[in-house]
Amino acid sequence: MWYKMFLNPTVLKILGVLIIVVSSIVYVKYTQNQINALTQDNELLQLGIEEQHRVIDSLQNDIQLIIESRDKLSELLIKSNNEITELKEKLYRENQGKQSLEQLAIKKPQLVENIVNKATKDVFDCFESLIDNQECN
Amino acid sequence: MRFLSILVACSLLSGCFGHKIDIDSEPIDRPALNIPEHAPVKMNSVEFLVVTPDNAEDIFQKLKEKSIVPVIFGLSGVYYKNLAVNMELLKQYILYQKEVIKIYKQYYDSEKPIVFKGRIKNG
Repeated sequence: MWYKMFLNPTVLKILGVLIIVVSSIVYVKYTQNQINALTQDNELLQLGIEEQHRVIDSLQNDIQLIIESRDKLSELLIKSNNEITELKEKLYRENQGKQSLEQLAIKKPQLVENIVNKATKDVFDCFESLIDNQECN
Repeated sequence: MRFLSILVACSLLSGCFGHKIDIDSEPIDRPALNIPEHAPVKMNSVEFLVVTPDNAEDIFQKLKEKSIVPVIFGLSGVYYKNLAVNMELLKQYILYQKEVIKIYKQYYDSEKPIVFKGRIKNG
């Protein structure tokens, strides 16, 4: 029978060596493939890490911008309230123990008229500047 | 025959495994808004007249001399002050809104974060 040749020790040895050689080649090939795949993965992961760092930097910049903007708006609100308070102090002079605007107007109508008209012109000029994207203080 | 049927079924079913559909999608930027600028505004001049019991007649006389119909749309002191405060409130509101728009522009026109597009193979 044909399988009796496997009982021959020489054939068995050759077969054993062949199996070892073939399995070694397969193992080396498999390992090389694994190394290649892992190297590619590693490159992609490196790229991913770099991009994630850039995303984190970008997000940190955005957060910084948000904090700065919030602070800027808070400052603007405080400045705005101060300016309104300042104007009210000018208009309601009687609260500081001075003559009221009305009493002053009775005594010196021309002076008050000039002041009022100048202030009105300043406000309108300010509106024009604001609409024209210029500064107005 | 049974063996052949099983083989055919297995080969058909094998089509359901091992195929991975990759959809590589990227966000598309929205078109720019490009809002046209508002034309500069020229405010019309306004002049207040301070009318007291003593100068009322003079003022009406002056209006007549200037060929202006002698009618005055008056405000008492309190309402003039309210008007002045209202104008200031409006000015401050415009200033605030301008700053808000500037911040929005700065925030949304700045560089967008980069999104990782790599795909890990062999998990």
